[in-house]
Amino acid sequence: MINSFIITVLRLSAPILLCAIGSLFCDRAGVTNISLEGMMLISSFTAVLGSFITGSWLAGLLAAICASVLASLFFALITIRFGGAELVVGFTMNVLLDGLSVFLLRSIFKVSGSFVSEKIVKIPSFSVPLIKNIPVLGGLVTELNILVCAAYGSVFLAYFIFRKTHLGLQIIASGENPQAAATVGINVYKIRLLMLVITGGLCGMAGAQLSLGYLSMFTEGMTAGRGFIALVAVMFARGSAFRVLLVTMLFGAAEMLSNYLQLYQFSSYLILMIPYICVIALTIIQLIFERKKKIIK
Amino acid sequence: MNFDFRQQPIKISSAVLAVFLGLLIGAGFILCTGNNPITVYGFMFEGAFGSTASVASTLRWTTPLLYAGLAAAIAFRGGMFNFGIEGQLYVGAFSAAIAGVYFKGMPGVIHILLCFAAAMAAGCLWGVVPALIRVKLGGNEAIPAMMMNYVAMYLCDYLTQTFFLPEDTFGQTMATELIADHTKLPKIIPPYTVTYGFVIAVILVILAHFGLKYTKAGFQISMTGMNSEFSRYGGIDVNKIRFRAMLLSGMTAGLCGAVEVMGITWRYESGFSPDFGIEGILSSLLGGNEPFGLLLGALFMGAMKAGSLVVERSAEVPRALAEVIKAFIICFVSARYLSACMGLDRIADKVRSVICRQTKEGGGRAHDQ
Amino acid sequence: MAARVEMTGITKRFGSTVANDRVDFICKDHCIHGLIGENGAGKTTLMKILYGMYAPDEGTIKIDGEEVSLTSPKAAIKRGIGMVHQHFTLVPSLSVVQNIILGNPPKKTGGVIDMDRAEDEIRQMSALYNLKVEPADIVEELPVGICQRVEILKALYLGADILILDEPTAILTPQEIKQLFITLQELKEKGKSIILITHKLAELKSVTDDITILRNGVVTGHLNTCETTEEEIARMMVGKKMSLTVDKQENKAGEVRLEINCITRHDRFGVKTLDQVSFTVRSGEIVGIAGVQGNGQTDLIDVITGFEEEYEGEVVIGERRFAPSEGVAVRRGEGLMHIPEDRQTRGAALEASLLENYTMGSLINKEEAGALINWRKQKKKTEEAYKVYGVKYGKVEDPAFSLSGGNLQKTIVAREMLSDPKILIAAQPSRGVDIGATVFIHEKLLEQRKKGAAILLISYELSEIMSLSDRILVMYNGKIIGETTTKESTEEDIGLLMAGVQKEVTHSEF
Repeated sequence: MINSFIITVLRLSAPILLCAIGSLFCDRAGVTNISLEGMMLISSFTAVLGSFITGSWLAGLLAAICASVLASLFFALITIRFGGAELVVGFTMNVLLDGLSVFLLRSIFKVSGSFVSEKIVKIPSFSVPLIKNIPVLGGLVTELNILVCAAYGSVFLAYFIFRKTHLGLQIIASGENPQAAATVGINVYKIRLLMLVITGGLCGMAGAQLSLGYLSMFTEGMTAGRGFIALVAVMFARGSAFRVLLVTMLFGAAEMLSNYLQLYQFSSYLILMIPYICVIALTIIQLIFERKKKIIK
Repeated sequence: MNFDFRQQPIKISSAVLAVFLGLLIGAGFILCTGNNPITVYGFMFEGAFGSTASVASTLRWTTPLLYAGLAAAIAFRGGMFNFGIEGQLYVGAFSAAIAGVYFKGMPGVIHILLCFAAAMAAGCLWGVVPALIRVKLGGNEAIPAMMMNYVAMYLCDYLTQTFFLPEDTFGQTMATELIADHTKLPKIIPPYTVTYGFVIAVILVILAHFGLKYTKAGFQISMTGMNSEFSRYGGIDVNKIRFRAMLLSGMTAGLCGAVEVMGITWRYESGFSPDFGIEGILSSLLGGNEPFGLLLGALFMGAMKAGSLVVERSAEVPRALAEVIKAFIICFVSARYLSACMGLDRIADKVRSVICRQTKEGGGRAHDQ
Repeated sequence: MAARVEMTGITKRFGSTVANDRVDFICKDHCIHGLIGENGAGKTTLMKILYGMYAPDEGTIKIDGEEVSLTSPKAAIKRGIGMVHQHFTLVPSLSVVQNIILGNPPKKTGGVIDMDRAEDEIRQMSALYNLKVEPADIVEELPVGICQRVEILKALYLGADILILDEPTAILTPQEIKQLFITLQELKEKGKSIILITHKLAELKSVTDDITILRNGVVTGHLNTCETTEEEIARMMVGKKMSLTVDKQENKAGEVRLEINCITRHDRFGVKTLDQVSFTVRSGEIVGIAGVQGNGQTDLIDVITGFEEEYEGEVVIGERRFAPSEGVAVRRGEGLMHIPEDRQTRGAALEASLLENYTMGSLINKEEAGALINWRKQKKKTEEAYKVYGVKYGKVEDPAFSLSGGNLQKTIVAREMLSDPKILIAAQPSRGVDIGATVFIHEKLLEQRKKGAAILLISYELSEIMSLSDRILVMYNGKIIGETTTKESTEEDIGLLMAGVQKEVTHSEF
């Protein structure tokens, strides 16, 4: 029983987590990138497309990553090279990529709404034998796929990079004090571009997880605000990869709760509101907390 | 994460280049679907302006964008981000619908005004939480506002499902009963669906223009958005102005929902808004957050919507292409150095200096020293 | 002793301003060399040239006898030059170690930092130079004095033998300053050459071996510290600019319009930025506050004008005591006008039109009641004002950023003065303004004084203070350390006060 909860929470948090870690990299390097929602969406579609055409989930995954990285490069081009406002471009790219995914869905597959097909191959899941029967621990190793593993691995990777490597120091310096970074010889633009590409890759994986992870379909707008929840997770996390993990899992749990409660007689609409209300409440609590800290000082 | 947004005026050369590039990219996509871009754009133009039906369609789609765009513009001018327009228009629509269904015993005009008032109050209320987060807690209002969008949509659906579902619904659309006949906004050119909501919208835009330009309150909002420290120096209560801007924005967004319900759908329907909120923000950005610019921006977006519907019917190019083109255009508009990089700035300056010389020779006034 | 740094004939221009004019500068080995001058004398520019941040228009640089071309900070670092800037270049959320090794950390395979080795190296350096730091501490929690040690270690870690410190004592407490000087002496013993940029005479006298004095981009003296006196240094430092005589007549001062009582303010580290500041300004007088930038003037302005709400003490305008929470609007409504220090962030909205900027000035005006703005009237007012003040502009609808700095300043001065102020706080009123316009602004200030306004003049240009003020207060380290008049004191006297040297000032009996 507990195991199935854990499995569900892990599965639901994975896409948000991947996006959030990507956003964490951007945020620490000083880039405000709010186009995560759109990037996840276009990758969801491209993953299905790739899988459908080639019959291989790996091709789908790679296609998703390519699409997302291309989107990131476009963002970099318009903001870094051509001086566009990060917020405006990021916001607009969500619209762009959403529209693009719908456009491609309808013109390539000639359907609207969702696309389901037997030809779509979903990412295979695996479980560790023996351990999977143990309560709690078993939940952590049952029905995983490589993207879920990547999501949780990325948390440790991010932590490692920021704490222990020179690259991590360069990223943090570029974000907090770019002038200081420049005086020590760091190329802030290059770092920021790199972070955008990494975010693209991670969002690509997130999108693939959404459409190929446990389902094998694409629905218009299937990201349902997850990209923004990832942003919120990063805002709460204040730079720590593990706090991102914590917040993301909270959202995963909230989503799972809402799914679970829908099985009962509670009105599904009220339940669906839960994750979003949580975000607002958490924002307010955190701000009040920070205010109190300032006054004490 | 840095959510500061300073308004930059838009150069005409940038706007023209952006539109051109956007249409070019769109043409590329059209080619990929196996169609001729020129024919498709031709359909689009016809669908937007080609006949009375087309013009009516364009105006019908422009109307909600005018309200949503005005809401966005007011907030932007005050230096706030109202990303919660979608949610505010939903609660506004719902409130107007309920007010329209019940209170049947009222005379026509008063009932209409009541519906409007209900919608504005609801929209305003829905803007309070993000406004307080910014003004009282110093946090960013954009993301909480966005979250409230989802809450609004689910809330309205929940209320409809639980309390206001008419007897004979068979679970196809989640919607309320039809509103009273006299609350339905009359059409301007029957049988086309453009209602007087469009006229009201244009009036509001004109009022907004004059309000921002000629009233003290409008001046305060404008300057707060431009430089809040300077505004503070001049004695403006920046927090109060920001709060008011957000609430005013919410009211306008609520009105958007009301007009859509009272003019087009005649009841609250779940999911009735094809992202009017976002489109409104984009229209405002296109228009440089100026009311008259918004008029053009919303018209452009409305025309593209109307045109894309026709294109979808005639050429099997999905209407989503219009979204893509619009988004590309706005990205390019924001890219300030784009026109400089392409050498268009020099051309624009030359044109401007030629025009200036002409007007100077017409006896312009000379300033001494 | 050999010369480590030899700069000859250095000239640097920024547009039409000559920041350094054929400057010769020599720093010997095993030496602490002081570089002193007023604001804008060219000290920081000269050192930025040495650190490779600027290229000189003329002149040569020799390090250890060898002529070098320093094209970037990296090149300077390679030559053993390190610089600790006035504004810290530390990353707040990183630790001391991480900040020090930021440019070039010791690495293991795969880009992983060898933290143990780094910590060892830092500890060794720390012990060697007696710069006590805890490697694991996070920078944003450290007091300013320790941050500075980290900055010094950072420069030393990159191999600096010649260390430039730009106004290092500006934000330190007296105890921290003492500690810093001990450190500098130890560094000198270990063979480093140190160049100390400062404006504070007392410190200069206590720690340096040689002194170079700059005034207006020109070297006015090379001295041996033990062979000179503070008076001599002050004389070379504070020179008269072009004679800008304005005809200042005697004016009878009237009632007290502004009263400041015991204003104290602490920053977030608990350091006092304002310390029991008290004074009055009467109608028809100009009170000038002299002092080098950074001694509390900005905070004082914020407190008086209502921008800053956290302070102790009283601000009395007219008869009424104003609570800290009664901010800008209320005070401005009482006739307290303000020419701000920073015209670009506080004085104007650059993207707005000149007309809108000017209209902001009368927004609070009680006479201009009503909900509408009469733009035609405002346009006339603006155009007339600009005519009187000689502003060069195109149309009043042009955006404010289209004006030159001097002209923008004139629009701000016009706006504040033409509202008939009861009290005028003028902060740096002629900053970035050409000579002719400066004289004009000064004349206008005197005109206001004649009309009976109470004027508080804050300026970092001593000549401006001296030519306009009836009374002069000198601020140093957040305190008023002296009050005098132009009759009682000379520029050199006031210069000494500005540099923190308190003397017994004998008042002559009138």
